Amino acid sequence: MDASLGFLGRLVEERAQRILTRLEAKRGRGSTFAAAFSTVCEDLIAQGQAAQSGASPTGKDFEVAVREMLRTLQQLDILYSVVAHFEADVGRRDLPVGLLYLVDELVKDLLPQSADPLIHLDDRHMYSTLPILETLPGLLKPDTVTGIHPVAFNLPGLDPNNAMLAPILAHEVGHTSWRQGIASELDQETDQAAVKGALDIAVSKGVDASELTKMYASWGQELMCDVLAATLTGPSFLFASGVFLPGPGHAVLGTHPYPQDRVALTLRILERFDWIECIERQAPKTLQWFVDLAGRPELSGHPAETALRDSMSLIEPALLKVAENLCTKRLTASAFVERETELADFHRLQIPPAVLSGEASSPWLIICSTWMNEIVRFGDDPVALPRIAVDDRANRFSLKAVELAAIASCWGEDEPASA
Amino acid sequence: MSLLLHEQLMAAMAAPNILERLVVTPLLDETQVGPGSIDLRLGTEFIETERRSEAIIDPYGDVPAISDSDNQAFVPLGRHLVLHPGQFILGATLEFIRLPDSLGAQVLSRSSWGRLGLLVATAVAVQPGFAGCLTLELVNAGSLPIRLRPGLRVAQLQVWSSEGRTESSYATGDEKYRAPLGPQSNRLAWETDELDRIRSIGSKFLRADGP
Repeated sequence: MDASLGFLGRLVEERAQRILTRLEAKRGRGSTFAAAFSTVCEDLIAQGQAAQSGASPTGKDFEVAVREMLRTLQQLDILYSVVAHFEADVGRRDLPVGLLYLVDELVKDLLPQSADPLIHLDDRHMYSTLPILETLPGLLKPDTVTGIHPVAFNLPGLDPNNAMLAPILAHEVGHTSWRQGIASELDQETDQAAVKGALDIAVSKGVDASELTKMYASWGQELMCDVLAATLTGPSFLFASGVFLPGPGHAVLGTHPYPQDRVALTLRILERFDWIECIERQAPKTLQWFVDLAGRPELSGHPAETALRDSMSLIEPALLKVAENLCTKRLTASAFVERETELADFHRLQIPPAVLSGEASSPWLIICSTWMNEIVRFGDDPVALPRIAVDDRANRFSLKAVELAAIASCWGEDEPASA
Repeated sequence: MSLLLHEQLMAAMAAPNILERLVVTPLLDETQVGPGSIDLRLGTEFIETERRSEAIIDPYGDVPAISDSDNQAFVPLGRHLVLHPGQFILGATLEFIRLPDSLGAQVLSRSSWGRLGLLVATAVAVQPGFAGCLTLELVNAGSLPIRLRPGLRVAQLQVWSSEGRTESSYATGDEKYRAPLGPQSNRLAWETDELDRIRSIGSKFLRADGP
């Protein structure tokens, strides 16, 4: 074996070993990440050793083998950057237990193939989710990871313990649901011919077909995530969305549907599930603000805009059907109304509403009731929404209630709470 | 004042009017209610004291002995925390407690833990109208490390009834430890009026050339 191949093999072995050392003794929540990456490192160490021992790593000729070792070295850089980014998140102990349980609920309620959540505090102050193994396409063999996969839950670094914005996190979890099979389910439920017809009109008017298809896929995915979050969490999604919404104005054609159209869709979902009367009773002015905002984008009249908005209307029944099938534990208006008075008492006396009439509350009931009661406390005004979203007391209170409810629920089922 | 016994405790927790109700939530197991007390479980939040370079602790100083930001640790059920001999940390009860204005209470260590050297609570009085998770001052007075597991019963609450009800309930005052949801560090530094008065009185006794 040529000395240069042996040298490259040694580099691969040493570097993979260094990464492997960083992953040792990583236990607890998110440890499937450490396990998967350790397996990859062990494979690379074996490849490096084979290159040094004289056996060709793949049986190919010398030039190909050298090129492959060089590529492996580059992949090790990627591997290292991912490990360095997430290693401190495995089994971390600096986050409230209620937040961990809240993430667990999102996994249970929204991910068809489950996940091992790795909570990461994002330095861009954004919510997102990332199936981490997808960052290693060239290094993972099909049988490297069996069972559940690690998924990073990126939370805003400066405000990670925010329960009031959990519905926005639910939307982001929807993107991982999309990858776990929801996309194909939506495809099956969609009237493809009708959608194609709508898009073809724009193409016939000179819109680039490839670009339009990409935008259609992106808009569909975003709306699917909205529908999942609104179906699961009820009015909380509307209120949390209000924190980020721009006011009425010109809509910009891009990767996301127009905010005004998204609000209109959320309101239709809430109406479908009988929430509107309940919101109107607690927060009539806030509701009216959303109604005024909804469905009033200042349209440009561009053929792509028309095609995309038409196609979104066409897929709406499919979006709703897929969400209803998945969100079997959605918060219902009747469950909220039944407990409304009791919830108001608990909030007034600052008692976490973890157990109501002997029954453990769902996290979505807790968060919804906090939104409703805080709107009463802060005032029924849309400008109160951002203040409620960042209110420390409301967030700590909700997370504590979620924690206690999760423990009570697991205790009732005679199952230990997840660690 | 009389101690509430099992039946009275159960009745107090079932009072239809929430203002009159003794709230202990979540009460995971009814066997927590004993003949004359309610067992309380260890919660999931802890504040570990940071070792600092200051030579003394001045609870009224700018930097209190323990601040909420000191090494806050969260330990989910199923995991544990090790308390070393001589170590002191703050924990809290898992249960959120609310006493009506007509009841007072005391939180006490469970004797089984005391025999292992674990001291659970030194500030035992719980005022009428208090609402919150009770802060537990956890000290390992033994010679071996103790593994603390959230969810285990570590303390007990004795509840006392009075014939009347207080007009100055803890819930109505501007109290230092109002409705805590986890362990609270000391708030002695909030009592600056008291300290100023003591200093003022002290100055009358001290000669200019005194200590």
